[in-house]
Amino acid sequence: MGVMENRFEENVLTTSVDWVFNWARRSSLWWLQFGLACCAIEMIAAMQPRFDMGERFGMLFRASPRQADLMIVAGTVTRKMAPVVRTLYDQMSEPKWVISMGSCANIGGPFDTYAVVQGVDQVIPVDVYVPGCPPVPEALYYGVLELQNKVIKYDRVLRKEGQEAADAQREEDRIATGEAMGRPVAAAAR
Amino acid sequence: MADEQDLQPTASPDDVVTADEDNPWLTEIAEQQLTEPAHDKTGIAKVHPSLVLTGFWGPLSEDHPAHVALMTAFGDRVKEIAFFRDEVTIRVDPSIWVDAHVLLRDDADLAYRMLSDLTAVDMLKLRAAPRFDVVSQLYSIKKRWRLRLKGGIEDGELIETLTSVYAAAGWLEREAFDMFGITFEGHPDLRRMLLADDWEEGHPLRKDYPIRGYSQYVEPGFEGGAAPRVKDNRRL
Amino acid sequence: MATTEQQTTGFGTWDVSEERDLGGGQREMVLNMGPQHPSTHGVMRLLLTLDGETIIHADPIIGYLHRGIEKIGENKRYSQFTPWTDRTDYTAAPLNNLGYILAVEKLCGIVAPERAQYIRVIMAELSRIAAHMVWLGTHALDIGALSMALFTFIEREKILDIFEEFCGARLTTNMMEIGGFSRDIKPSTIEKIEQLLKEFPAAQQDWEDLLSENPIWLARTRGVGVIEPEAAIDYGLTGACLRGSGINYDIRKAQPYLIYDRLDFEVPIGTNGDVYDRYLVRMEELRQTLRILRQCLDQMPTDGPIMANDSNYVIPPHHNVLRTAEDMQRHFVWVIKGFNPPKGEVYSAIEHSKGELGHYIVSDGTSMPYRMRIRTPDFVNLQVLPYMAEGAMLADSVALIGTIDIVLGSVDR
Repeated sequence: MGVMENRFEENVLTTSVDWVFNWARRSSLWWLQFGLACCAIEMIAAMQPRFDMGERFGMLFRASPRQADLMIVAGTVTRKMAPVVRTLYDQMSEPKWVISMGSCANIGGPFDTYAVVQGVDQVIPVDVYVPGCPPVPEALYYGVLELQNKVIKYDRVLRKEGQEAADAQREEDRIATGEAMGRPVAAAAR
Repeated sequence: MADEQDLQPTASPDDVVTADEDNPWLTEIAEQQLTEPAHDKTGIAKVHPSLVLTGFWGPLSEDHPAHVALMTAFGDRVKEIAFFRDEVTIRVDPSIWVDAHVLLRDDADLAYRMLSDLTAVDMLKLRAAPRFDVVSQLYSIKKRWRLRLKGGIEDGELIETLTSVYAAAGWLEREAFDMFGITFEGHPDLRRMLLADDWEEGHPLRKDYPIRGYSQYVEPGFEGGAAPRVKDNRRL
Repeated sequence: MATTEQQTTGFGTWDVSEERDLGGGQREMVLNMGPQHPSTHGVMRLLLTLDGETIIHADPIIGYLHRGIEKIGENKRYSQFTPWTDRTDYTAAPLNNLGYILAVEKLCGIVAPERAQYIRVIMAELSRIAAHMVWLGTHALDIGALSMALFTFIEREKILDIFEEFCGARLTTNMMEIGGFSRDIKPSTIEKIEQLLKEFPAAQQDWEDLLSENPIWLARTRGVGVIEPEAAIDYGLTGACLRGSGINYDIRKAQPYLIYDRLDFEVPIGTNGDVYDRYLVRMEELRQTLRILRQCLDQMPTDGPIMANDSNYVIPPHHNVLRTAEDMQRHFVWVIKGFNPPKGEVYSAIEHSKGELGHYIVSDGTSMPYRMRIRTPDFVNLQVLPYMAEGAMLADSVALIGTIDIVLGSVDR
């Protein structure tokens, strides 16, 4: 068979379903192909053979928001474009993440004018900010790796209902797990 | 419109215009520009001769063929001719704006067939009236010359559209309308172009329009998330 | 998006009627393409009115990347504005730098020294190649040759490496200064350019072997998007769009700037004015660009100043700033206050990779331009799209967008 054969005792791997799902999500982030301005050229360069971001991180760009779970906002968001960005974000299915790439998407960059939204975080929630004008592909890598660290800790309840609900849910899970394994668990003293 | 010959340049790129007996105007104008006291206080900076002696805009004198042609046709409605570096600017009355372009385009010798650019300048801070200068940059492929025409109009005044003369004017005039609020009479499709079509806050390239506009866009629910604004101490 | 009473205008209308009944059993359909579409090369929106698969009318809606660069130009000092020129056409930043810098130099009446002019030409021509790489990759990708983008971006990375070594940035270079350069070109950079000159022709041959006689490519490009010569002039087209229709207009030849009059190169001209001819023109331009680079490297003086000797408009050399009090003061004033060029107005045009890039600057004698107009080639070129699209097939619309070679930052400014 292979090198693994007979090297381990017959065993069982315990893990949480959430972790497995998150591990799968982290390793195959499909992103919405969505270039706005200068940063889009660097994003394309990151995709191309020299940097090869897609193949390395299991990423694949999709032209449709319905099939994507990561949006890289690469470039300046203008007032005319802001509703479009919002619509695209709304069309993506949960769970979804956003990387804001470049100074323009972060804070408006050098364009502090009548036409430019001063940061895409005024339109959609952002998970990772990548600084640079434009960020070199390596910087985008770092952003993606940071996002992967975030995806592995993804908690649906936390994301949707906030910290308090997430704590309550975790507490409930802890008690339920304990009871299932036959040992009563005391409620946390808080 | 015209036969194939007119579309190709007649001057060769090797014909560098130099000041000699045939072109005395070049020496004259060049000397004038070069001996002009420089703008700076030290007077060290002098205009480099290669920026004046190009001949890219035709003769730097009142005998410029375009000026002569316009004067013959329209007389005193051609306001003035100005020279800066190697460039020629003719200011015309807005009433002959279209006719002047038609004349220059159809002139067999000059053939200013290409509209390079059309834009406007808000002269609010430079003079009392009129408020705007509409500026067109023409190019003659045949002669390899450029030319700039200007017409001054007041705010709210109409100026005739050039779309019947040059197809290129369509979008350029739309942009000027969008950015300056100049209405081009007879334009087939005059609506907002770079800004959204329901933009209500005036025209950004006017000098009295603040660079940051009158309001910032905030998505509903994100009011608190906006970064604090730095105090604006720049001009306008 | 969520409706609210907070702010409801200024974003543009969204409702597009999808189908219209023309009566008599005929229907026409309005198809919205963009602003988020892989083939619009950015954030352009196209409203296509269709009769079956034939385009009756195409209405490009631009402005989704309008950032107010002209307004910024009127609020920045002459010496500060160069970084924004990078961001107008971000695929060919050095060419934009060059256009702006030449306009300011003309206004101030100064000329860069010979060596600096050669370096400028080298960098400008390199960025012309880089811009054509983006064009070829994305244009072929749209039409269906998916692998072209992979090939062209390999060569493009080599040019970006040269830029990075020369000025420290890959894309938004901001490399040129009023009066010349503050840093000289390194021998290792020249070696890299030599290397590129050796490798590039073979790579280009590969692409042409893949495309030029490929039946699919021919079917998608030949006879598509024909522009008549008269129409090309009427629409004010420049660059390959004009030359593809057979008009000989290249500013490097017609009104030579820098040292282009000393260089020996040819201007390729098309005959039919279709998408295929414009492709051929651009491919030939690449070869001529390599010739220009070769001549520049041979002719360039090996030594000499790279910054104009001028006390007013040019930043003092770094070396002197650290050593003489006079230059330190000048540097201080130049950085804090800028300089005041003479009153006047200039229009300076250069041959950009996409056509005529003109900067029209009106100076009122202060340190900031009174009016900064950037005449970008693709803004003017794009308005020929409705003319080309009328009667074309829906599938050709992506070829028509690609052949104009637009960059939305440059179209919208």
